[in-house]
Amino acid sequence: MNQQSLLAFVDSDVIISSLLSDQGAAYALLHQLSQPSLLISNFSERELAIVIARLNIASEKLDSLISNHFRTVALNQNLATIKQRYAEFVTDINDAHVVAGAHLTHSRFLISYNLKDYQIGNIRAELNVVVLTPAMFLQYLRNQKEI
Amino acid sequence: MFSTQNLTSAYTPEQVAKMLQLSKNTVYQLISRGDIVAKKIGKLYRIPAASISFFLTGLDYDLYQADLRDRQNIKQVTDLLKQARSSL
Repeated sequence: MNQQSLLAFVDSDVIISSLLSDQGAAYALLHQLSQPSLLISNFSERELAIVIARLNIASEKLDSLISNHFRTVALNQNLATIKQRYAEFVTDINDAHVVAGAHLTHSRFLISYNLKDYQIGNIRAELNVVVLTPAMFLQYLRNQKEI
Repeated sequence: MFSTQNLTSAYTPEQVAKMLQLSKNTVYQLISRGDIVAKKIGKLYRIPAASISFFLTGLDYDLYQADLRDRQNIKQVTDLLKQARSSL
């Protein structure tokens, strides 16, 4: 498998989950793959900072995780434009920047726990991005090794 | 049908055949090929729930367990994330 075929944009719920438990699939995924395979956006960084503050998680933990495991990509569009462009792919418009992140970075995968709020059929068909949970992605990687 | 609780259970080949909508013979073939791990006790087979995890969830047992562990926190994470996203 080449690096491009493994490019995965990671939703913030996965990153937060990995900070809450080192026994979960999110933690296993982030510590199995590393940059440049895993991507987040500038919008991801902003929302992550808000959530970890509310969870009383030290910001250094998040900074370390991001610098060690992710490549942060700046989406050079404002949020309103992104919401308009990607509205059809989400049920909650505020999730649009996640789909935009996966699409604009040419990621093959979008890894999230929030599958119900993404139009995963449309995302796959029109944007060529496969939406998977961390465990499903790990299973995919495991199966690839066995082939 | 396939909860954390019954992952500690074991099933007969007949029960597994019914759960997976397969014939009993197919289940015995899967056991014979090693696709389903079963314990033979005398003349009877018992199949631990963990060994049919993939057939029911699409995940190996360890990944299924890891997925469940994250899901213990996911509601809180999702709620906080929705609040954060609405304020971006």
